[in-house]
Amino acid sequence: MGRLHAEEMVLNMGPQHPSTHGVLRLKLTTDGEIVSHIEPVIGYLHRSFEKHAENLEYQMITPFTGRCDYIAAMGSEHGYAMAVEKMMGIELPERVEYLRVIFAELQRIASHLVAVGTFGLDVGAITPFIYCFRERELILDLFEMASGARLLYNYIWIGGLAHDVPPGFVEKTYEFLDAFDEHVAEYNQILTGNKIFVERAADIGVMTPEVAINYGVTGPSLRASGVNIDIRRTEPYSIYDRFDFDVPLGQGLQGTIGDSWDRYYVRVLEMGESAKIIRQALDQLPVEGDVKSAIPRRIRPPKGEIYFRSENPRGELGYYIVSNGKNVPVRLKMRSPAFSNLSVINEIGQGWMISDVIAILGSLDIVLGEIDR
Amino acid sequence: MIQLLANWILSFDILSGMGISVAWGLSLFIVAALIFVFVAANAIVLVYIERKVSAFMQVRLGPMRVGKFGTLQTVADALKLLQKEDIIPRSADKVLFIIGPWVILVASVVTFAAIPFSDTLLAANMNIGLFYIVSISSIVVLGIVMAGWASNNKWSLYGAMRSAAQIISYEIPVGITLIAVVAVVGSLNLQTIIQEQAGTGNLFHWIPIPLPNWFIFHSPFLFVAAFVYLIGATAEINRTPFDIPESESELVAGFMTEFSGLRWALFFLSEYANATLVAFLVSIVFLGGWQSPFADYEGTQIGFSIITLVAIMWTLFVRAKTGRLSVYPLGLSLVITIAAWLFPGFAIWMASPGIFWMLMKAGGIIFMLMWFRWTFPRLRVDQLMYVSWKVILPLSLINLMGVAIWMWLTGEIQF
Amino acid sequence: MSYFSNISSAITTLVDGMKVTMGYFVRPREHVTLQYPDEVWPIPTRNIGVGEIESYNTIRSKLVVDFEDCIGCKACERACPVDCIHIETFKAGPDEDIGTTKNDTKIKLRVTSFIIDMSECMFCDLCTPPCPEDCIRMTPDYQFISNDNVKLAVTPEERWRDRDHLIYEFSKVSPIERAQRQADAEKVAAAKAAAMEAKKAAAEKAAAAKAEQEAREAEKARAEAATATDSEAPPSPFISETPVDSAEPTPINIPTMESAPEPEPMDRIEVPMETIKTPEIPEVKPVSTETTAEPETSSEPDSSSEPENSSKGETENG
Repeated sequence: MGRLHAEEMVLNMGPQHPSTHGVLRLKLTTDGEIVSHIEPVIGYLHRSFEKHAENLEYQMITPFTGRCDYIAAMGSEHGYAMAVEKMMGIELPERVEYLRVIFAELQRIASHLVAVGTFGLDVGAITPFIYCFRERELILDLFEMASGARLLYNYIWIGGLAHDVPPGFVEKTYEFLDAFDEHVAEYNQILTGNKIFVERAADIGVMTPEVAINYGVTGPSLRASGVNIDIRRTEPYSIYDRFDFDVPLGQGLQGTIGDSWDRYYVRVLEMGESAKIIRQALDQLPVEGDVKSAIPRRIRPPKGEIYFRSENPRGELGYYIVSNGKNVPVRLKMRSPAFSNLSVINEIGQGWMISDVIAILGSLDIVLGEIDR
Repeated sequence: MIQLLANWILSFDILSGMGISVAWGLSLFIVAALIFVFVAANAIVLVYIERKVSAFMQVRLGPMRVGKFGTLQTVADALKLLQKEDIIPRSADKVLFIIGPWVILVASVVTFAAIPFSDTLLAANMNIGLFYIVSISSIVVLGIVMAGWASNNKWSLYGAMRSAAQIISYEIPVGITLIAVVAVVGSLNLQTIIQEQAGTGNLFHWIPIPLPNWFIFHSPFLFVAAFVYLIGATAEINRTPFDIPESESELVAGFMTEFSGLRWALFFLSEYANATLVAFLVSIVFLGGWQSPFADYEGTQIGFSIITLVAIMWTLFVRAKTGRLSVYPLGLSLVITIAAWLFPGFAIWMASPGIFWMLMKAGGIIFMLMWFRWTFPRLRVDQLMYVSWKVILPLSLINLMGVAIWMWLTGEIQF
Repeated sequence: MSYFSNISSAITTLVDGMKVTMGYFVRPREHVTLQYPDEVWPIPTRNIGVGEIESYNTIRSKLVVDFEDCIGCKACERACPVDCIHIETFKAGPDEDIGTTKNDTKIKLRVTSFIIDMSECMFCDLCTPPCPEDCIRMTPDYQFISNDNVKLAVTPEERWRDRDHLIYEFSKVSPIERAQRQADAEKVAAAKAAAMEAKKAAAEKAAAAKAEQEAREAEKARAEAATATDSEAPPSPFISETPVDSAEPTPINIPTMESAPEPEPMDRIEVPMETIKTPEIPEVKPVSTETTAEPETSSEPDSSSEPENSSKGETENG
């Protein structure tokens, strides 16, 4: 009997594929259902943000940062504003700091809701996705109240906020938080513990701490591998050192530490931690304070360069800014977390089935706007 | 039914000259057309219901625009699909591409010939009805493989291959589960199977709870078998959680990726025809088919009263536990109970067998399928095989053995 | 044993999930759907405290300009990151009274064209804070719906027309007046250019080769400094300065001549975009070079807007 001749097939997934989270293209080399090599092809959403930034004044860049990670625009704006403020040495009013933390954490919840929901969608559960988006809409309502926009805010300005929050915002946020815990329990009931979901996610795409660190994976995906690195905790920026919160780590409750289920579950837990931070911030929020008082009239950072990193919902978001003392940066480099997180897909996705590659991709929670920039 | 129709046609003076064979042919054609109309209308209604059910489960409203509450939405969709351009990809295998959807449709429509909707309303009363349905419905896989192969698309090919593997492996547990019932009845005739389930009796023969004589209450083994069959059949008709051949988040649309317009509508039609078929089969084989669950009209009144009591208790329980008030199940059962007590005619009608009960049971099963679909994630292809070969197949074999032993214990058969 | 525990956990967890969906199914009134044209999302309205205008809202949608209050300072145009605001201004005559704004600021510039291209706008709200008169603002009107936008055959000329309904012209100046002002500006510019050329010719003859070299070196340094100061200009408090500042382009409006004079139907889209954009390109360099090369131009009586330029040059010289 002759040898069975088997050929590998190149399967082109994307850029128009339902679960590549945007316009990502994955070149899969498949042996039947088994994927032997994954090559991500990116750049379909490239808008040359960094080159744009070299021709725009500092304040004008803020709306573009939000458009990079459009699922978590507040986080991007927060990091950018803090980077420029650190260059200029601006002291912010307390109220601004608290409000910024509240918005960044609300954005983290909103972003994780999208991540959790779309992960469910990737493994075939449609209903949890809709529940997650229902909650996200409530957060967007809060953002709309404050900033006037639902997705891309341009709300966190260099040195302050665009406007103060309206009356009733704090009460409405409390209201949301009270209802939120119950809904998280609901997601756990319908998705987290679901046996089919566990089978689809647990032990799939295990990312060891070594692999994660080697590839520069950050954020919840890194913490799911058991590495306790959260910039809010290890290198506290803004006023994060004042809050009491846990950093959820992957424990391998359903399988191995660092599998897709852990990456999913760390996000679920982080939503609860963010809610905790928001509660504390709302309790301590100073009533007095002009949110616009520290906004500089001319934004002209002194000559020099800075690398500032903050914890975005997707991981470590860094801004490297070179200034020559003028009102336009010489160079602005964005270290986008999703880019590094995506790069690990070949390492952890090899040898799994096509369905698993989708699940692994979903568990990494990428945003193509940020990867391509 | 065909015989009746032919006789009826011949009873007219003008038509009596055509001869028996022509009348037979004519009535065959009429029946076939009726079945096809039923399948098409059924798909349109079911798509609407599915969209509404999914919407309510997902805190949405579903279609609301076309017609009152969007009732004409699926009609509009169907019209749109019929008008669409007929696209055949250039590199597709044209013959198979055209034949594929029709094979699937024909295979799923033809099975309805053996379904008894009531004691008289059935196209062909075959003595091998069950076998006929099981064997004909497996032809669907041929059409799927044809469509997937002919599309000349990698996603379609994956879908077709998965589908072939899946349907063939689930045929086995499903068949064995049905054999367990056939062992009880001793006949493959669907009418006989239904007639065996008439009247009321004790739960599992010994436990003194008066329940209809349905096979699901015949023995613990058949009780399990009913669910085993439901799971296996869900896999066989490619619905979530076993919808891996067309899993939209992995394979784009699986074997349907390259199809559009009318051909795609045929897929859709056959999908819902298959779902309906499975629902009918479950209700025939395990739930007594067109038999009423109530023995007489007093039974109707008492039965509905019990259901209402359970509904009240359930509502109170939910209210105490979650603080929410769900009035719809309670209201519905209350209205029917009051009607059953006030109008004896209604109660008698409820107690009599007929197509109403058949459709009610099938509707319940279809709702179960929808409920599964909008709750569960999707299994992976190897997990699907695991469930089939390592869980469901052993279970169905145990059921078959168990049923035989049970019948020996209860004295239904003697050696 | 794990085989059976697997099966039992599968059954229990799946039933758990089914409870959730059934719970929502029997409570269909908790839906979150909004049937859009019939029900509209209640926009959170609130005056965010800029100006006294009630409709100045947090919600950022359609940009609106109160044209009566616009002083033509072009602060919004400069603040816009995507260049969707296009303003064309001409200096008012010496004894011309255009009016005053609600803040009692005298309007010194006639804004002949104020175009906002909402198809390019990214709703960042950066244009509204710099406005000294609070006359540009974002309104909560988010419905950019029109019947007259879709055209199948889109030629390059019709590209503008294709999104006609998204391009707003706020200027209330009549096309005739605009054409008149453009023509006037051209006349002035042409006269100035002629005078300049004559002067240049004379100067070239007079100047020695060494002087030329020196002048070039100086020129370079000054050009750099000038561009720096130009880019500094935007955030400066322009209420008093800018009217003078923006009168600058008028004399050097030569490139606009080809496309400008089309007074009759005043297609508000096609022409102005070019006419506005072009002056900015030659604006920086020629002005600075000419002023530096020949300081006499500042003393010219006919050049209406020169004092600003010359003052700039002088300050840099000194």
